[in-house]
Amino acid sequence: MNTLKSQESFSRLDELAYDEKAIVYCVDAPESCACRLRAMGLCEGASICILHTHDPAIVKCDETRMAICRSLMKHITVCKHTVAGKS
Amino acid sequence: MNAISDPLLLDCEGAGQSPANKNSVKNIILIGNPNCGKTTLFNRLTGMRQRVGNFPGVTVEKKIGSISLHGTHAQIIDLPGCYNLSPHTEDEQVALDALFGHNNAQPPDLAVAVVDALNLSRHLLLVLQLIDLEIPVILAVNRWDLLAKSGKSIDLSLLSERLGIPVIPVSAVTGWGVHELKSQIFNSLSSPKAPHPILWPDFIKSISNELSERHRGTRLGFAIWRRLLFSRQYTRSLEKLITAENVQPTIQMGRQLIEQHGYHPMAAETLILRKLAFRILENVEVQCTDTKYDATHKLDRILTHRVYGVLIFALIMPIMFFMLFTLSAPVVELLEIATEHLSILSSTMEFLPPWTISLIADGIIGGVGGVLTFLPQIIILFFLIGLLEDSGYMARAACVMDRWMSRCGLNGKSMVPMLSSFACAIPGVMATRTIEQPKTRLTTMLVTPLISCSARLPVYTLLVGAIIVPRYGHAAGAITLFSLHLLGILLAFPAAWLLNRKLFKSGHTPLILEMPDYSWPRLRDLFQRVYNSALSFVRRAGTLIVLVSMVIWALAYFPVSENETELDKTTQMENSYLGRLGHLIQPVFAPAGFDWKISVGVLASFPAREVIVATMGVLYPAHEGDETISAALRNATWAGGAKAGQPVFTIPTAVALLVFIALCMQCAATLVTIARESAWRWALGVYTVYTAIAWLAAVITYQSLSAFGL
Repeated sequence: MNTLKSQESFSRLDELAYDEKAIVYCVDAPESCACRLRAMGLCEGASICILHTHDPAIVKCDETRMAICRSLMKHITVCKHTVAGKS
Repeated sequence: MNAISDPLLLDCEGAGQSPANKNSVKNIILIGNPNCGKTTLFNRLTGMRQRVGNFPGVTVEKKIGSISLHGTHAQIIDLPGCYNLSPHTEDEQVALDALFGHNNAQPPDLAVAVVDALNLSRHLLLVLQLIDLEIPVILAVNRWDLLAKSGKSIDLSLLSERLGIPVIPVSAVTGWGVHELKSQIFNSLSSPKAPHPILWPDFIKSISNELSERHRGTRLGFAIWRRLLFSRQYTRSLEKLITAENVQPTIQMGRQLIEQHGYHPMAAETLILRKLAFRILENVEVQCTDTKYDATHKLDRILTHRVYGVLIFALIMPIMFFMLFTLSAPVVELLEIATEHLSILSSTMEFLPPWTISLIADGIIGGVGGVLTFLPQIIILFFLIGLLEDSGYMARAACVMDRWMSRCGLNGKSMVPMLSSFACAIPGVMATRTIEQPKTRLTTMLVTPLISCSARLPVYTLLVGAIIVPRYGHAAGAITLFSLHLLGILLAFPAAWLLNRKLFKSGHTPLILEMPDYSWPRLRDLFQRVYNSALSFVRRAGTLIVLVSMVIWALAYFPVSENETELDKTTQMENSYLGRLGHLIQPVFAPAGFDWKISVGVLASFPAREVIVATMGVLYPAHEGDETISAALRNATWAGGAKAGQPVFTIPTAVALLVFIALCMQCAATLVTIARESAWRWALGVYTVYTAIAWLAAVITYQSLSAFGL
């Protein structure tokens, strides 16, 4: 019998591909930017999806669509929920 | 990662009466996240017509209006948008100063928190912060009409019960629910109730208590302590409080205690309140359908594309100026003919003394009429810019231009004030308030006057229509018009690079920008804005330009020679006060090919650049056979000197004058606005530098084109 296993993997936000979804794990950007991002809803625990991969990228964080410079995305760690593996 | 613990519930015990303001005029604030529809709601509530648009940061100043119901009046203040109670930008500072009662301002009796029904969870963060301040709050859930289309539903009574505040659904755009909101506002004013206090996690409560104990007897309550602990930047009133009470060491101590509980002090409040917001919204907000790939998403795939996005942006601008020129040309020609006929008609009023006839025909009609002729273009320009603003494209333009702007140390956000400046530099300068970094803001502010505003348009159109079009055709005219607008943008980039990188030595600020949904511009708002702008242009023509035209006419008419009748108009003008002044300053502008009349026009237009059109209308009066001011310019010849008898407005002279007007900062109102937003030294600095650049560029243009034999 095949079973699917849910795995958690961490990566930087700028490494996510188009349409990939994740949960924000840590916002480690410079303090002024981090405060701004959190105020706009991009904070630990928020769900995020990449809508546009260029620079600046467009992401959808919960219900907020925002443009973010890729240099800033490097400082945001996200947690991906992947379904993989057979046993 | 921060540990998010403790179930957070609203503590219904202890909810008490808010200290109502004893002042008879009640003070209400409209507060909410940027672009959530506060100003549209404000206009609905007050009947006023403040500017609205579909991008974050349209309102950067507080606007005061009044509302009344059944004979009771109250003052309502529309505040710039803010995401939370920690100000990151100047416009947020303005909003929070009003909330905290800075500079003896009356603190609000009631806050109407405007939230977007489509993004409730994020907007609730600010609402919960307001609730924590223990001021009476009404929640206005805006864009209610779009909720069903988005596939969501909200249980308003459950939301109201959980928050402990009245919740009113509204649609500011259609006006639906506004009357109910007004009734609720007056109900809440007559019997104010403080909302249920927020039950913070125990460690936050104990830290607040401990800090409060240390400073017993001061004005600092628990809520203010939390603001001091959680904010990265303070409002001006809290800054004052910190200095007065000397509490900085205590704040540091409190933050260390927060860190001991696994939270970053700057993140703690957001994380705790966000979790609370999601708990509140459990069973309140229900998503019925998935709407991820909506029209906005599909359009963004093209309009913010790295290649297509830039191409589209690069196409929009020339198309806009081509439309501006071609659509307005027939109406402008008609108005020119009408002005000329009016002038001829006034010359026939022989019952008036000769000087009065000259004042009316040459001074007022020639001057003001010359400027008013270009009203159609002002209307079309404001309409086209309004379309860009209301559709939501401004944020996309900022996004696609970010990479280019970053090369000179700015980011895409600086593009919004620059694009707004195509209409007028003053709102452009004010719009820089939304830029976080002070040096980036100042740089943007200082390069904004280089962008060609609507006041330059009459000058461009007059000269292009009179000199370029007759020789090279309409297409060349449109290209010249676009090139003049492009010139300012092209110069703005190196100017920004020099200011940012060399003078301020500031690094690149990464872009963070909310992207609103696209929407169809509402014609009512758009026409209203165009009407206001046109009215403002006409008023300016009826006041400042009338005054300058009359002064210019008087200086050009007097002293009247005893044998006046024997002298022709040109000789009379040469001998006038203005003629003498013109000849005195003409050597400065001679290398750019300007005669004394153009030199006077340039000098007179330093308070407002469109004045040059009025001045030329007075100084180049229509001769017999000439139909319009354009024809008068074409037929103007040098009166004396080496060029006697040759045309004044050759291609090199006309283009040099256009370049001068494009680069020179001839606008007293913009100068004052820059001084108010930064300092006089910056305002006077850019004024001097841009005047010098404009003169140099005009000289180079004239000499180069002359060398090519044009």
